[in-house]
Amino acid sequence: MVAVLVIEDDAAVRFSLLSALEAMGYTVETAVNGVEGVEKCVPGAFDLVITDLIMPEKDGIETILELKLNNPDLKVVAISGGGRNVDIMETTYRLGADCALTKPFSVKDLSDCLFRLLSDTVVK
Amino acid sequence: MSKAFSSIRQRVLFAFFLLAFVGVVSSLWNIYLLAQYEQRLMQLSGESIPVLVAAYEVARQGEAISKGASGVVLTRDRWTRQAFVNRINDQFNWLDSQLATLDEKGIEQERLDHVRQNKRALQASFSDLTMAVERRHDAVLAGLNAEEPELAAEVDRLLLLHKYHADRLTYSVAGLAHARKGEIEGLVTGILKQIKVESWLLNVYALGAIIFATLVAFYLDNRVGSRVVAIQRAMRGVANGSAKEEIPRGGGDEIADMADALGTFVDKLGEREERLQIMVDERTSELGMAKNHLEINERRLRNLFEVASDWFWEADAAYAITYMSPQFFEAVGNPANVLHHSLFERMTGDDVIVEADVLEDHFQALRDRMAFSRFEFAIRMPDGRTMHLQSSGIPVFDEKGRFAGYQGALTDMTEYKLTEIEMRHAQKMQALGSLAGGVAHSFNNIFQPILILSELTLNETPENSPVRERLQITIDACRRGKALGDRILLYSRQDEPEKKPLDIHGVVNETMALFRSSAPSSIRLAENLDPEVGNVVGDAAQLEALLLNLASNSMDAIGDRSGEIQVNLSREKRVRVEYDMGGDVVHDAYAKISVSDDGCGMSPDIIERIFDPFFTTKGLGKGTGLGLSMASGIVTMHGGEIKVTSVKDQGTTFDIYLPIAEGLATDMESHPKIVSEGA
Repeated sequence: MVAVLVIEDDAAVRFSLLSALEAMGYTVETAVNGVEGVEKCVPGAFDLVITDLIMPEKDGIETILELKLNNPDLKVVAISGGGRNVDIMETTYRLGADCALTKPFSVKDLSDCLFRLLSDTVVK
Repeated sequence: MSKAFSSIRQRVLFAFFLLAFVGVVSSLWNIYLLAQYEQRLMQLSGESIPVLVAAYEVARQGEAISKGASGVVLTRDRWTRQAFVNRINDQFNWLDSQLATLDEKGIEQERLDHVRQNKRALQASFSDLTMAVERRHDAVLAGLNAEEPELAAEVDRLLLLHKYHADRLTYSVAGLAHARKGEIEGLVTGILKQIKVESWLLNVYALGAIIFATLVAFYLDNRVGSRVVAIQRAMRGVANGSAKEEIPRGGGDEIADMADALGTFVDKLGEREERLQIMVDERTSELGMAKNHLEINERRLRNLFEVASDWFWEADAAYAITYMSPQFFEAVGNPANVLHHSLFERMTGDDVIVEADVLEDHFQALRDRMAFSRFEFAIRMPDGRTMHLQSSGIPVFDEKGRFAGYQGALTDMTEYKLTEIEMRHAQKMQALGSLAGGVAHSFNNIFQPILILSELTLNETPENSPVRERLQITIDACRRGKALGDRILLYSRQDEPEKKPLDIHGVVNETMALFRSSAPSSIRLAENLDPEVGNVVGDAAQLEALLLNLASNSMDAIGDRSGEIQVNLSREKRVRVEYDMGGDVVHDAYAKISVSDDGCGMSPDIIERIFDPFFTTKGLGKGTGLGLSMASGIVTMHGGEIKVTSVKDQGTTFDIYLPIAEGLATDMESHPKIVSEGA
């Protein structure tokens, strides 16, 4: 089983992602912000993290940096509502996110992204 | 030379004083010496002359005694003989008194003793002779031989002895006289010698005085004359206008002082002349500059009048407009509508847009014959444009103080107003941009769960369930919402568009092809695209969206009727004057894209607002009100300009000007790097 951590402050978004990922057959845990996400994501606990970029407490960029520092092999998907600064997506890639999705994305967008990232892992 | 003798006058006076001093001293010495000689001479005359006289008397008496003795000898008569003897004895007495006189003088005592001795000897011999003669006489008387040889011989011998003593006396007296004579001669010789020396000294002194006077004259000439002449020459030079004369200086005397004073005077004169020259130069240059300045100002004023954007107007006492700058009619047209119309009438015309209270204030000022300024109004032009104007005026009175009308200036404020509107628009856009960004972000977060949960639910819903359709509509609504969010985000984007060199003809052509496929058959699409326009730098997707938006607006303006959309692409040079660079005229090449339709057109109040975000004339749900504001944003970000011309019920034209990148337009192949960079 592939374990996925969803870090998202919006409860409805968090719930929808949880539902979709479970429907796809992943083991899913959630965190409400970056601080909790970094705490939960001990090395080896997850294969992939989906994180929002604009969050209170600790924003997505900071979270990605810390996660990647602790778990170099961890796959990271950044999601954002965009709007405030489109450069965030670009910045995210540079920081180490493996995929970025702009809200609202469809189930198919999500599953395509995850499939691509995780099949890489399998190949390796 | 000591300071006391620094002046020539002092030196010359000192020299003459020395000369006089020497002269006075030497004459005093002479006088003293002569007085000495005089005294000696007086002494001599007191001493020697009586001595000589006495000596002469002694000699004479001695002679007389000698001769008398012969008489005594020869006289036979005793009485006669006795007379002779008595006389001779008197002569001896006289001789004694003379000798006593000599003795009194106390001189030549030795010689005098000798004379006295000789006199005694003579007296003794005479006495012997007398006795011998008496004895002979007695003998004769005694009768003896009268011529007793022995007696006669004795007398002869004694007579001779007597004569001998007389001679000796004479000689000794002569010796005395001679000694006196020698002394007198020595004295006189001394005086003469002294006089000779004096005379010589006098000559030497006179010669010295002449030489000295000559030297003084030379000195004066050298020290005074030649320098005075030099100074005089220099002064004549100064008098003739030369300020550069060299005055001979130095020496430390009066002439030097005078030369110094004159030199200083000449220097001052020179300085003053120099200052004067400088002042004259300055004034000349100032005058030249002033003249130059005047010419520049004149030219500037002329230029300003020629390029003046203001128009000037005049009205008569009845407020009828009598004059208007010709440029006004060039800009506005229709002179009949202005000239000879009263200001009141003109301002209430249909084409004038003005706020009622502003107009009332203006009319009040006119009625009161007051000056007014910055009266703002607008005119609707025949071509649909609105011209914003600002008027200022002052009342004119004739020489008797009667109101004669107005003079004033009219300023075209259109550009200013447009700029003001643009600035307001830009501020509104910026505020709305950040607001829209935030709203879009929130909406995207809201759409996210709706979309995913609907999709999940749809997947789990059986094929024939009616719920599927509802879910599908929900999902579609989410997608439309996302599309709207994207458009809002595009509008609110603050970053630059992609910058690639684009063949603008290609972009327009492709977009029109795309549009044609979706346009209804009732609309005729006419294109006139110049393929040689060149390249612009920009974002193809944005430009495409812009053109589609404009075309779509045109389509909406035409509506259900049939109509025509005309799309033109041409290259246009726009002239702009860069005042900063000294009025250089700059030609910029632009790609002009025009999208025209013969649709419903717009009224001016709508035209003013079309670029505002969320302003729409379309029905609810038909338009977002973002199209033209986006179009405006895109054009602005491409460094271009968008203009709209519209006449109600006749149609609308949008003109877009995009700057052409010349180097890239003509030389694409030689810049593969830039092309690939953009690709």
